[in-house]
Amino acid sequence: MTKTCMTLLLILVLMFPGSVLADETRPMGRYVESSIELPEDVFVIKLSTADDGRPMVLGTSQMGLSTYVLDGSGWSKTGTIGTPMYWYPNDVAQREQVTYALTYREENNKFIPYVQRDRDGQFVDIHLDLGGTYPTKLELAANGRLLAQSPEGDLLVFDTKTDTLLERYDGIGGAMTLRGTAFFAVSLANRSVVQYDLETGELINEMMDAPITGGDLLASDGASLFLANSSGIYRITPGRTIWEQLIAGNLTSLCLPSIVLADTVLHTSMVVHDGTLYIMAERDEGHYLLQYRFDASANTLPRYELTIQTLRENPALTQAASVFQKQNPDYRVSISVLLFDGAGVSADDAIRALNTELLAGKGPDILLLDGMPISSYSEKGVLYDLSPLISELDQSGELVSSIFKPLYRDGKLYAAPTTCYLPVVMGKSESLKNAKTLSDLAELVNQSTAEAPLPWRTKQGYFSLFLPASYPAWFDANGQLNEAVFAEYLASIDSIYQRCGVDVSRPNEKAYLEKGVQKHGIRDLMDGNGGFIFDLPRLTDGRSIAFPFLLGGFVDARFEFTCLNDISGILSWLPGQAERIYAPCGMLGVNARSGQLDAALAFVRTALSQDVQGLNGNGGLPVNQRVMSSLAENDVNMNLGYSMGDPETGESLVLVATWPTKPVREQIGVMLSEANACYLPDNTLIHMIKGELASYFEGKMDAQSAAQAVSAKVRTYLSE
Amino acid sequence: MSKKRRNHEAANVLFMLPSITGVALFVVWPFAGTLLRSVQDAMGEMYVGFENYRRVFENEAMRLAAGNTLRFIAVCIPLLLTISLGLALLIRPVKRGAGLFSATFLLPMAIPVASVALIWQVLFAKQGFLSALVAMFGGQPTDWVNSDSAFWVLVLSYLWRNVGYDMVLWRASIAGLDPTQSEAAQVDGANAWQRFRYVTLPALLPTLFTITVLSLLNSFKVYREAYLIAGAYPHSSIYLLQHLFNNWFMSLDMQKLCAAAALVALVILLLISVLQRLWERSEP
Repeated sequence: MTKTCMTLLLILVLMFPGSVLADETRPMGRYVESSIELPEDVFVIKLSTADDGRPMVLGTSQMGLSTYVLDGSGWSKTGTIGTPMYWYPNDVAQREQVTYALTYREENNKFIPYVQRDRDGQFVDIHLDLGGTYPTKLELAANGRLLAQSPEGDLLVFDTKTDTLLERYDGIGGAMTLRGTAFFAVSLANRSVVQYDLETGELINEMMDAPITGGDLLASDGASLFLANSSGIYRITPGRTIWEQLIAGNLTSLCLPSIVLADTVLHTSMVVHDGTLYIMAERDEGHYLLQYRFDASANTLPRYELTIQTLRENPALTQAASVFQKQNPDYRVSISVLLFDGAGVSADDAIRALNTELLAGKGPDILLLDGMPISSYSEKGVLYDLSPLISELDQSGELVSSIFKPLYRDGKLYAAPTTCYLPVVMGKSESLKNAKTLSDLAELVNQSTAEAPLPWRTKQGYFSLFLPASYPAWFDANGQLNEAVFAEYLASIDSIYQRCGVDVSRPNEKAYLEKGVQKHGIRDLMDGNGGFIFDLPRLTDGRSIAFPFLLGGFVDARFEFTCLNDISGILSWLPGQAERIYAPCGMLGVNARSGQLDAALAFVRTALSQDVQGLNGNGGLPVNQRVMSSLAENDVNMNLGYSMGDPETGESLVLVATWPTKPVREQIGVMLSEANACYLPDNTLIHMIKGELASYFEGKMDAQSAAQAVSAKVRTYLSE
Repeated sequence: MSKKRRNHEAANVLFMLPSITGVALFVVWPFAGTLLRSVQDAMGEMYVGFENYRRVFENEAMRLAAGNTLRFIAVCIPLLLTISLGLALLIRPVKRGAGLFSATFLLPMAIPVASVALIWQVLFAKQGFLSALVAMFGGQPTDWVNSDSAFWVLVLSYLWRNVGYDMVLWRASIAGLDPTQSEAAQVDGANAWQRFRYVTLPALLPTLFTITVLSLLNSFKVYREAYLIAGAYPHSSIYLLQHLFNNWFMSLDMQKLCAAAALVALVILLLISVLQRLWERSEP
């Protein structure tokens, strides 16, 4: 009997998850990520493998092409090759002192690809028959075969002894790597990895069900094959059919939205040496080298889990999660996206399920509150007061104070924005200097002689376009809709629409609308959500006088800044019924009943830190003061152009992307610091208002009647 | 008490135990929780007394929802009882095909609510069948479920769905009546109305109580149609208590939701008690 009891007790102790015994049996060993500085003073072209298998970087500088090999003490320069002709090489392949370079030369307004081979430090064209393809990647195999691959999916194999084309493969535009006299490539069509023999040109093997995402890298260590993408790093060993996950993407930088893996386009690559993986990825600022080394003393899975729920995917959140995990290796951040394609639930369903969890004292540790009932959660005590943390960060000069001040309620702050947008308008100073309110703007456009003083939109489009700068003024002290103010808004929208509204009976406006629909989708255009790029040339050549838009990151508004320079214009607050409005975004809240409050607060701190905020070139303006100051201070050379056909005339247009000038950057910083009210729309209310305004949008109801109807409709909702 | 009797009573209790446990676990306990939360704050952490009840009484949306719900009940229940009784009496003399007739009226109950909502949308949308019919006669197309007519659409929906069920209940009750009383009254010179008014109707009163309570409870189910047709914020005339409760849950206003639920339970209890008292008083 005693024995039986003891056995039962032992089983119970072993089964109990929090027991010390169980803790000691945690599986150990994990690949740990670190970043490695790339060689300085050189423009890195690609990461490759030296003849002895070590990681090698090929780069170019004024001295010509150079190779650097990674050893224990860092990068060692191992050689300098000549300089390819015409232009910086698009890609380079080297093996046993033979180097091939791929360059492009402009001929008759077209860029023509050339492959060159170095001979005694001098590159010469070898006139390969590229068959009309535009390769971007070169690889040199052990048997002397040269492979030229294009992103479009053409892979050409040449014999380097005779410089003749041996094979041409179609549908291979993804990742590719070599092993001996064979090559492996990702087949996006079949979601497989194919293996071809370079001697015979025949398909040797096709590995199905590969965890391919479209942004993949392949590498081989002579035996195993490795596949990397944002979901992680996988390995398949000879004779096996299952891909083994070595590293979970969400525990590394690979899942960062700012990290791009695109083998053929950006020459990101992966090499394996002595069991350590090296990945060269692309970021906004250029190449970035990551190392994954196996650490037997690290827990296989982090000890703690911090859970986050969000309605929709948010790149800034993923960014923050990745940085947080790096700073806190004991934590794993799990992000649950409640609304995704195929989720089969509405936002209401998702919130209802979340509410049930919250009421039961459960729920995630952190909530990304965009689209959720923030004010309700704040009032009901669901969220933890972040004011001590925010005050501390604010006092240390870390935050843009003005963005946080309007969010305080009775001295407490329950939601912290991680980015924000500014509703602005740009145009010529003489046009905009007197337009402070929406009525002023309506008057201005009615007096203007320009073809369409504001971008062409539907009435609903204008309603949404000016909404952020007016919405906060619509409600009285009791929270009810102020009918008079709302009617005035609708009257101004009416007036603007009468003067500038799109009229599809006119051919050029029809073409403009159709092109816009093709580019942005009908909903965005009608709702005024899409920043419509065709409006910019209209402003540049004086066909319109102002362009209203939501200013997010500097990368987002790169074409707008070019236009602003071209017209020597000004950027000012969007005229509306409220003043100096900003739209907070990426609102983070901490579940007051979380069992990991300290970790959750540390996560919010990370999300607001320079490490995370500095990574965003788009998706909103940073709320970190130091990042904002650094943005104002530092110039970035954006060498981007966008060519398109003018939808009205059909003529070719080139839009150049420009980083804003220092005065503009400083002005944006000042505007952020002057913002004093936030646009935090209630989606249910907006939906109800738009639904009730259907007749008004169709022109069948005047502004006053529409305001009355809306007021009656939303009264119940607002009194709940 | 004899041993046999005690055993008999124990057996009774044992037979009732599963049911009592179920009711206690899934009705009484949650309702006690509701009552408790009605005097606490939203997250159930602090006692606030009757503050939630005060806020519920002052709430404009609550007044609208309660008013609409009462109006709906006041209009629908008499109409339903009358129509279903009328139909039951109408087919009373029919010997062949009466079952088929009743079954036809029961069909709406077998149709899923989502399908019913779809049918109403096809019928009552601005581009729907009814508007097209009105337009044929020179009228203006109307979005019937988003106008003042919405209330009557909902009444129609409720009647269409429930009339068959009530009719079956009436028929069962009528079939159980002793025909000799009516025949005697006829011999005494009573006409058809007098026989109905003074013989049949008093005999049906016990059934009236049951059908009224069932119809009252069924009337709360009409929210599903209203929600599926017009969403969480329908036209103000069909904004019912369940809309408000659902929306309060969405905004985590659990304290108000529980207070209002307790009030509604109290009103229903009072209503049923009054009906029961009336029935008992009218019993011979």
